[in-house]
Amino acid sequence: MDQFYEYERDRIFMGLHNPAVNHQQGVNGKVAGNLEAFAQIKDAAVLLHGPKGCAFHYRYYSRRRWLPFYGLESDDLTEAEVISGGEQKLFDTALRLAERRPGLIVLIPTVASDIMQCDLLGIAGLVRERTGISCIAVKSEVFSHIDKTVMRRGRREALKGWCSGKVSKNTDSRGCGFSEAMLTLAEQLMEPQEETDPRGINVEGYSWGYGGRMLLKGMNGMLADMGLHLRTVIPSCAAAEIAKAPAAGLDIARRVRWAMALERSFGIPYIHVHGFARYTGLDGIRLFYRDINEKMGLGLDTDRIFEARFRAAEERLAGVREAYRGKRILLIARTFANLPNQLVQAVKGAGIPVTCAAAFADPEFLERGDYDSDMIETIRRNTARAAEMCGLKEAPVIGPDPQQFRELTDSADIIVADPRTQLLWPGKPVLSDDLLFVAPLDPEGFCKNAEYIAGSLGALPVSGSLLINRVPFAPGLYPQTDRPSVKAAGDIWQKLWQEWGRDA
Amino acid sequence: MIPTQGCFYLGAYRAFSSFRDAFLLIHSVSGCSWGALAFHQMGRQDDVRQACTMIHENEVVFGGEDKLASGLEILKDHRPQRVFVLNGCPADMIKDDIQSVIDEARCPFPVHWMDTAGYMGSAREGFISAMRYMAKLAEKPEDAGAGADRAVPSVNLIGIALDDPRSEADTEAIRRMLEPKVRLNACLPMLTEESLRRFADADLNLVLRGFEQVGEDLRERLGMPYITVDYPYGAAGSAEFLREVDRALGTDHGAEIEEGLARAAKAAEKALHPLRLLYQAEAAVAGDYARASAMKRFLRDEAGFRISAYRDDLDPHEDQSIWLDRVRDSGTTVVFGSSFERCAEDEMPAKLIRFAYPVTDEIRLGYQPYAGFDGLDFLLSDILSGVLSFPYRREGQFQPREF
Repeated sequence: MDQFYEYERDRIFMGLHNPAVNHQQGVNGKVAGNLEAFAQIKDAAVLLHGPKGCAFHYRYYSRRRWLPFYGLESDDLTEAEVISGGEQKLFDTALRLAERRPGLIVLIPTVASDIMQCDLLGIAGLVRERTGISCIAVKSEVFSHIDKTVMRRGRREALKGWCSGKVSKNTDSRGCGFSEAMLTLAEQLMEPQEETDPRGINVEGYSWGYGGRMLLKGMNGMLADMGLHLRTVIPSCAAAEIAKAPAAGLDIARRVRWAMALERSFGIPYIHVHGFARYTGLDGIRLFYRDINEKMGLGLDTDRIFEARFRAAEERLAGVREAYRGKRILLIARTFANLPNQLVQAVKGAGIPVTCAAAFADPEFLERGDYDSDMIETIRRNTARAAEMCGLKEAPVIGPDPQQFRELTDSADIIVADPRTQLLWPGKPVLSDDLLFVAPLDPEGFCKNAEYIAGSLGALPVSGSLLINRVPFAPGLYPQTDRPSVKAAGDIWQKLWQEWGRDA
Repeated sequence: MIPTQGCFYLGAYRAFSSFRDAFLLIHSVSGCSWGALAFHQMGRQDDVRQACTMIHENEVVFGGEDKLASGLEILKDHRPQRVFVLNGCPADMIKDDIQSVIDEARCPFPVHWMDTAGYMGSAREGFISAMRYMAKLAEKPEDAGAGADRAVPSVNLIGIALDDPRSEADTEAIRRMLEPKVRLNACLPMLTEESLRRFADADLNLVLRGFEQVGEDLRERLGMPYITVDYPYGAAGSAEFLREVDRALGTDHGAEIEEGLARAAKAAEKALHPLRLLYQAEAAVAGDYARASAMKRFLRDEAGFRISAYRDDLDPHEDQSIWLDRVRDSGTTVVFGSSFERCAEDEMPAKLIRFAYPVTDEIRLGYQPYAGFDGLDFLLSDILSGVLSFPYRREGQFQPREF
C-alpha cells in the first residue's frame, strides 16, 4: 500500500471529525486515551465500570481514527449501585466476559467509580484467581481528564529539552489516558521472560503521525540491515505478546513512563522519541539508528551499514531541489510555539527550501495558553536554533505587524501553512503544513515523502472562490464560525478550566 | 453488556439540545459534554451551543456550586435567549444545590434545570423526561388563535430530535405531506422561541409511537388532544399517517395519498427487478423504538424483507452482542441501524443503512428524507445502492484456501 494513501486516509479522516475545533471548548475524558491503547489489543475485552452512558459515549471516539467505533463493555451501574457500591456487579460482569475466554480482561474506572473509590485492582485479582484469565485494572492517576498543571509543566520541560533526546518524564501528560494505559500494561501484564530476544525491539504503537504504519514499516527495514527486528508494537497485538514484551532488547517509546517502568523492572533500555525534531531529515535518521546502536551496545558502524541507502537518497533529492528552484517560500507556523518544529520538519523533513519563517505571537493568545516569559524566551532560543539547523538566511519573523505580514505574503511564491488559512491569501498557492506531519525513519521513505510534496506544487488549488471562504469565521476562534454561542462556549471553557484557579 | 443506548443524561441532552435557540450549560465532568457533542455534531459542526462547568477533583471535595455560578455569570455577557442546565452523575453524587445557584444568579434570561444524572435511567427515559419538561414550557396563549389561520387546522409533531439522522429533512417531508390542508405548527423537542410561543395553538399533537406520555401531559395540562402515529416510512406508512390525521381532524388527504401511492408505484417500476430479487431477503433492524418499529413494518410489509434480527430501545439493558449474534446466524444482507451497527457491516458482507441515532460516520446535507412519500425514493435508492456496492470477490467465485 502506498504510504501516501495511508497518510491521506489518516489526515482526511481526522479532519472530517474535527477534534481540533472541539478542543477550543473542551476536552474528552481520559477513558478515551485508555481506549486508544486497550482497543488495539486484538483479544482483549474491555469493561468500563460505571453507568452505561459512559460506555455508550466512549464506544465512539473520533480521534481513534483507525477504529472510531468499539465494542466497549459496561457493567451498567444504576443509582442504587452508585449508593451501595458496585464492585459485586463489576465482578459478576467480568466473570460473564470471561466465559468468552478473551486473552485479557481490562477494567477501567469512570469518574463515578472513582468518586465511589471502587477497588478495581482488587476485583481484577479476584477475576484472575477465579478464571485463570489475565485481568488488569487501570488505577486512576488523575480525576476525569488531562491535568492542566501537569500538562503545563510537561510543555515547559518539552520546550527546554527540544531536540535534545533527553526529555523529562513529566512530558507524559497524566490524564491523557494513553500513558496511564501503557503503564498499566507494563506494571500488571508484562512478565519476566526466560527466553530473551536481545535483538528484538518493542515500539509504542501510538502517535507516529499521519501514515504512521508506513513509518514503522520503513523503520523495520532499516533495523533488519542492523540484524535487528521490531518484536512487538505495543499494544497493537495480542495480550500474550504484550506479556512477553520484556524479552526485547530495547523499547522505543513516545510516552515514556511505560518504558521507564520496564527499565526499572527488567533492565530494558529505551529511547524516548518525544518530538521528531532530533530525528528529522537524513542526518536525523542517521542519528536515530546511531542512538539505537548505542543504547543496545551493539558496537555497529551504522553509517557504513546504511551508506548505500543514504547515498542513493542524496542523489534522489536533486530532483526535489530542482522543483523549488527560484521560488521564495514562506512558512507560517500554526502557533509561535510550533515554529521551531515546523521549520525543521519543513526544511529537513520534507526538503522544502524555506526562505523565510514567520509566526504570530499574539500576547493574548500566549497568555491564554499559559506561556510565561521564561517559556517564550525558550521558544525564541529554539527558533534561532532551528533556523541555524535549517540554514535559514533570513531571521524568522515573530509577531509581524499587519504591514510586515502583508509584505511577507505578497513577496512569497509559495506559502507553507495550515491549509485552512488559505482564505487569507486567495490566489496564492498554499502548501499544506499537514504534509509536515510525516516523519519517515528510512531514507527511501524520506525521499518519497519529499518527492510527493514537491510533486504536488503544480496541483495546488489557488482559486479565489473556495467554498470555505464563504463562511464567516470567528477571528479569535478560527476555525470556529462567528456564532455567538460558539464564542460563549469558548469563553466558558477558558474561564472555568484554562484560567480557573490560576490566581490561587 | 455492550450498551445500545446512553444514559439518562445523554437522552435528556438530545431533547434539550434540540431547542435551537437555547444554550446548554452542562454541570459535570468534561467527558459528559464532549461525548454528547460528538454525537450531535456530524453534519452540523458549527452548531456548538453548549459549555461544561468542568467539575474536577476540587469540586468533588468542596462542591461545584461556585463553578456553576461562574458559568452563569459568564453567560450573562453573551445574552443567550434561554439556558438549560444539565448535570451529570458527579454533580448529583456531590449533591450540589443547582436550583439555589440558578435562583441566586438572577440571570436576565430564563434558566431551567432538570436533574439529568446519568445513572437515573436510560437515554430513552432521559429523552422522554426532558421532552415532558420542555412541554411544560408551553403556555396557552391568552388570545388563543388570534392571528393564526384557523381555517387550516394545525398539528405539532412530537418525538424527533435534532440529532436524529435526517431529522430536519424528515420533518420537512412530513410538513410537505400535511400541508396545505394541515399546518405543521411546531415540533417538540425541535423548538425555537417562536415555535414555543405558538405551540399550544395547535389543534392536535401527533405523537410518535412510544412517546405517549408527552402527549398525555399536554392533554392534561393544556387540553390538547393527541394521536399516536407511526414514523411514516414507505408509501403505505405515509398513507396511514395521513389517514390517522384525517380521522382525528376531519380533513381529507385522499388526493395526496393517491398521488403519493402513484409516485411509489413509479419508483417501484423503475427499480422493479432489484426489488423483486430483494423479496424475502433477510434484513436486521436496530434503533430507537419509534423508528425501529416503523422501519421494521416498512421493510417487512412494503419491501418484502424477512427481519432476522430486531432491536429497539425499550429494554434499557439490551446488549448489542446478543443482537449481533442473531445477525451473524442469519443471511442478513442489509442492516438498518446507527453508526454503532457498523460492526455488522465490518464483519459481514451486509450493508448498513444509517437511519437511527447516533450517526457519526455519514453526512447528509440538504433535503434527503426517509420519511413520507418524498422519503421513499431516498430510502429505496440507499437500499438498492447498498446492495449493489457489496465488496467484489476479486479472488474469484471460489476460494479453496478458505474451505
